[in-house]
Amino acid sequence: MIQCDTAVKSAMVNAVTETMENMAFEQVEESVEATAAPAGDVIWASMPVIRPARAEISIELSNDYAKAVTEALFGFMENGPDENIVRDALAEMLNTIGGRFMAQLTPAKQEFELGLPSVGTGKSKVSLNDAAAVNFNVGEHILRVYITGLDPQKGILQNTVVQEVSNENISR
Amino acid sequence: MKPLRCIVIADDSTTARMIIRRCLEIAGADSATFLEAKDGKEALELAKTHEVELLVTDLNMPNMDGQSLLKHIKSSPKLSELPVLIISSASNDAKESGLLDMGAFAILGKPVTPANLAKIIEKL
Repeated sequence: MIQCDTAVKSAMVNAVTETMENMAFEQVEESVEATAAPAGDVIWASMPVIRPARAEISIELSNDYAKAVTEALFGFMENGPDENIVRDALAEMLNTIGGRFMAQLTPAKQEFELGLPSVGTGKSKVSLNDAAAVNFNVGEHILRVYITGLDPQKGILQNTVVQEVSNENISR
Repeated sequence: MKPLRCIVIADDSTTARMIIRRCLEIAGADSATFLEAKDGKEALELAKTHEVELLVTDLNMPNMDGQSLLKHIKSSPKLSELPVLIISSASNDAKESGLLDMGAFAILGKPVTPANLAKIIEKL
């Protein structure tokens, strides 16, 4: 597994925290257990970053948690959320996380471009040798984020400016 | 703020459309009729056939993206005055500046909140 640069990691922590708090009203904390994986049946969403660097951002979480997040977004559904709605909610969540992440890393005068997200069930196809992973605790659940396309030595994305992110922002 | 009667929301995500609609309702547009489109083509058709007072669009959509939709609207004599609010995850200063130059009314990054939407729609 690749170790990502501290500022890249901070950008991802900010992106996930802001997205989950604003979209799903969930308090999220970075997990100290870097190797922990979501329990039970798993669902993932993945989205390419097209520019300024070629990369891929993926999230992986349990089906149960994905359904819970979807209900947090749409409100209670008597028979649980439909699979298509769960997939759509995850894709939108990832799209927002990816946008917040790249907005922090891309120089202000440069545009960035994201591809369309795809969603699948089962373990993510991300090769752990090529990816950095950041785990988050959301209540009893784990949300795992993978970033591929990082420089394997430096843990940064090409053509990006790593902005300083204060610890205060991270914990907010 | 003048009450908005008809708003088009264009986003390929059902979730995003629901969130934007809910935020707009909380932000004060609760008496508006909301029309939803999954891409720019559908949104353009809705804008041509209804008395739309605000068009809210994502950028990254299949068939016709938000930027092309904005171009079509601003080049149409009938629709050029329609305010277009862009809500996108792929938003930063460089992108925003280009879209404002093309005639966008305002640009917001995702995740959108009722508070930041309220600030935008009160300027209408």
